[in-house]
Amino acid sequence: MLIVGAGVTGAGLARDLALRGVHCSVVEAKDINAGASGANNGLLHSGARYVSNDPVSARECRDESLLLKTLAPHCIEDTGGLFVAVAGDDETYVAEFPSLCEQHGIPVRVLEPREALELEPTLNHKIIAAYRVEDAAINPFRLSLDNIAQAEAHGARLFTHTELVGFERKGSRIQAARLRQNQSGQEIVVGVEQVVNAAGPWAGQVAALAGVLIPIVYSKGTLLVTQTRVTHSVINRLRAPDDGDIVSPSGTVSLVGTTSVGLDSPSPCQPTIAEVDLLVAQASEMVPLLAGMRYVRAFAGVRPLLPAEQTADGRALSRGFEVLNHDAAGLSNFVTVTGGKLTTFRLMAEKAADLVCSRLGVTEPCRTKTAPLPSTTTNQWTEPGLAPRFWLRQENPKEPLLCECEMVPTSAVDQIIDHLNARGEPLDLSAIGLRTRVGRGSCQGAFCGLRMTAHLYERRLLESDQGLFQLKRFLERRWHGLRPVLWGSQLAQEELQEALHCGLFGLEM
Amino acid sequence: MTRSRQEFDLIIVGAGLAGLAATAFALESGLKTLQLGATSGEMHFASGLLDLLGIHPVEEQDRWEDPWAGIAALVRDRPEHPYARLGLENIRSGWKEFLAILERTGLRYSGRPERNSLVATCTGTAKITYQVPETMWPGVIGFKKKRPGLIVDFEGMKDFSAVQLVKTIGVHWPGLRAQRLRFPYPFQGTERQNIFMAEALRSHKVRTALAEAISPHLGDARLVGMPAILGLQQPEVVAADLEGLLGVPVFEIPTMPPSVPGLRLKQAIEQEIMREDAVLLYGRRAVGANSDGRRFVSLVLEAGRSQETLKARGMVLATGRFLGGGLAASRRGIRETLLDLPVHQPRRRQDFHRRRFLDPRGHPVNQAGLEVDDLFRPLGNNGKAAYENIFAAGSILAHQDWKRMKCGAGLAIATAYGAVKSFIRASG
Repeated sequence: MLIVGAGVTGAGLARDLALRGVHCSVVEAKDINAGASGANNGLLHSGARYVSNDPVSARECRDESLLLKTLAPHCIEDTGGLFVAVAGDDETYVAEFPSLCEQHGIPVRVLEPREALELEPTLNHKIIAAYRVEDAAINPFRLSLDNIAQAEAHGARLFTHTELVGFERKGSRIQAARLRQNQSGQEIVVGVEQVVNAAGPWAGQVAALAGVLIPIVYSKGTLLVTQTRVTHSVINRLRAPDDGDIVSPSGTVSLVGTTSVGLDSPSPCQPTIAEVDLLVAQASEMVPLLAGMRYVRAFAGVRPLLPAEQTADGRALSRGFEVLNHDAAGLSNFVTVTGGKLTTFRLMAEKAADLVCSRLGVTEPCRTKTAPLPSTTTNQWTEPGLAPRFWLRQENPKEPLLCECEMVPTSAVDQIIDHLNARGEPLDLSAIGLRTRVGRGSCQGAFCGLRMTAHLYERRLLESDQGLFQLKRFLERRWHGLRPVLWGSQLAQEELQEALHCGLFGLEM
Repeated sequence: MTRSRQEFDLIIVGAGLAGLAATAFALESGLKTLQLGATSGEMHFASGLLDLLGIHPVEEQDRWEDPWAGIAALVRDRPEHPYARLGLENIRSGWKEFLAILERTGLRYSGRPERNSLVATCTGTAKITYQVPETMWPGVIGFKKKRPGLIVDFEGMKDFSAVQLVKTIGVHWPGLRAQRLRFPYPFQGTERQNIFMAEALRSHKVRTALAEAISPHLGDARLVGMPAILGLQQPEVVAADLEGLLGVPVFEIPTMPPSVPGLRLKQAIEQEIMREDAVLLYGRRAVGANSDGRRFVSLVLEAGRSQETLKARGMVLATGRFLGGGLAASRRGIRETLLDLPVHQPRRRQDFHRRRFLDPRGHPVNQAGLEVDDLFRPLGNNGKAAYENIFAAGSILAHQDWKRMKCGAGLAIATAYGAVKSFIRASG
């Protein structure tokens, strides 16, 4: 049993199958949540956002968000959410919103603008309408890591930095998959019983390797990370979904998103300055201080959307998902799960697992809708704000901090290094950053990148000048997100970084 | 309420290396000088190394063994570069005068005549530079001659790893070993800060204890390198003391900020400036200037809820770039913060930076800044000097990328010299 892709869907699927006693391997070309699962606004939708144009998704979000709040509370900050309209917003939409929510069973409470401002003092004082909903913030990294951790505890195996390069098909069956380990370049062939394609925006390419054509619409979403958190709860613009209409809290910061730009391919995309300006302009209509805010970085992900009959822009397309059995293509052991949202990942995994199990003759029912998701300590460091709390709780914090922006202690980094080492995964600075938040604060790796490199040398995990290559690669990756937000203080920060990294160390030479 | 105190010949705004050098040059010429800093400066970010010119053109990554030959080529190739405005001879005169001032301070620098040197940095890279603090010099020689050496670092000290340095530079300097030590002073807590360690090394007792800690690990080492913490003053004495105790030379290695050699350089020049009776005013922010249209008359400072004006016959603007606060960028563009002078800059923010951080060509925004005439007077919108008696010096100037060209100190010193000499010439 092979799962392609270790985003949140692949991780959820591995757990679902493992809990039903099905052993599976997950292959991932990069790292956990390398695609859209790691580049979103970390929002657990109550469903209210989709009431006007996507009622199926709205109901799915409603049910799944309630379920996850019960079963995976450690991944969620139950902030609640607001929908607010400002002068000039479509009044028909405002007027219809509460009844649409009620129609789909989504709890909603009308607030006086004054009440909304008491809850969220940074809101625009000129809001004309506000509703309280049950949105929440969810940590997609912890979610995926914990799903994988439980799957592994039940026999699943994860292979990161391992790329699927081909299938060997005989008649209606895929018999084997050809995998390439990206570090060594070594190719191996593994026999497969069933294959699930959970490659997110790359699902079309994976399907093509099996000789199947699936149409996917690629929609790029760009988000901004503020230096400090600006609201307690999730703030949505009370209008039909559009650019820059969600401000969601994420631990100590806020995320401002998103854009929706059509793309021709799922290849890695970078946020642009035009998108950043658009987001700031739009979001500051809801939260005015966002106009003068310091942003530490931007990031972009690609949504895999289901195409509609008629050509439409990405906003109008459904956030629903599909499990494709590929019967029509004459394949009997290949499944693709595509579309969907972070909020509905568990349901997507359940439906895909149901199909796989029926094909395998497994009758065990889905457990993920009743069993709590266990929390693992190694994965806790992905939680924004956990490291500082941990550090402050120690009465006499003796342990040196490796990353001062996010207050990550050296022991947290050591835990992750040991974890990666034990699994034989490459010790890449970005892999450590993904699991600890090192490099995500305002210095964006200028100081902590160097410290992580030094720490790896200290632990004898780097030799010769390997560290320079590691550091350069890490800095270039941070740069993608940093470059679009370089004005104000963040530009001064960058100037210091360049003075040190180029002026003193000559890393560009 | 507005009040005015005494009148100066020249006001220098800025407390970085360009501002300090400009004040020192002005005093050399007998000018009554006031130096103003919104903060006490950002010299703790400066390595303390005196770069003159290392790389040109950056696109080709050509390293210059002889920095003066490099400058001659730069002056030919890039007429808009501030060095080209000065010309080789003025740069030489300014540099020479600065080194003479530095010599009077007692802070000693070393270098090969007319030749750049390579200094091992704390990350294990080799930095090209011209003059280095004397306490770093044995490291330059040791590196050149590949002498076996011991690099020590300290428990609890961040941003300096002897193992990292030794392994990384090992390709070029194989005979190094790394040793971690406990710094022999009873600090509170577990973190060890550069500046406190440097302060602790004032004590001969601490130096002796440090030498005793190093000694058992010496082995075949013919020199000992350590982070640049050999005292905030008179590092040569600390180094000589340790060398006497250990029997081999001891050298400093540049660190991440806070940089002790940067602070020493600042303090040394400040002491010299104060000895010459200049007024140093730190922690005061200039908010604007009064002029009679063509000529600057006085500088306006914040003074609580009121304002204060300082009269002078001229002003040197050495307020730095984004980190120093001389320039500020919004999403719409870059502004000069004190006088709102026109700033040469890329047309759109999209063009500020390249797609790769470490692109050897450098980022276009680094070339942004004030354009000046041949007298280092910032240009107004009409392309002529905005004021007859306002001059600019240092990194705020356009058409240079000191970080990539490795010319930071040289740019600060040479343009400070150019600005002050121009003031003298312009004021007759």
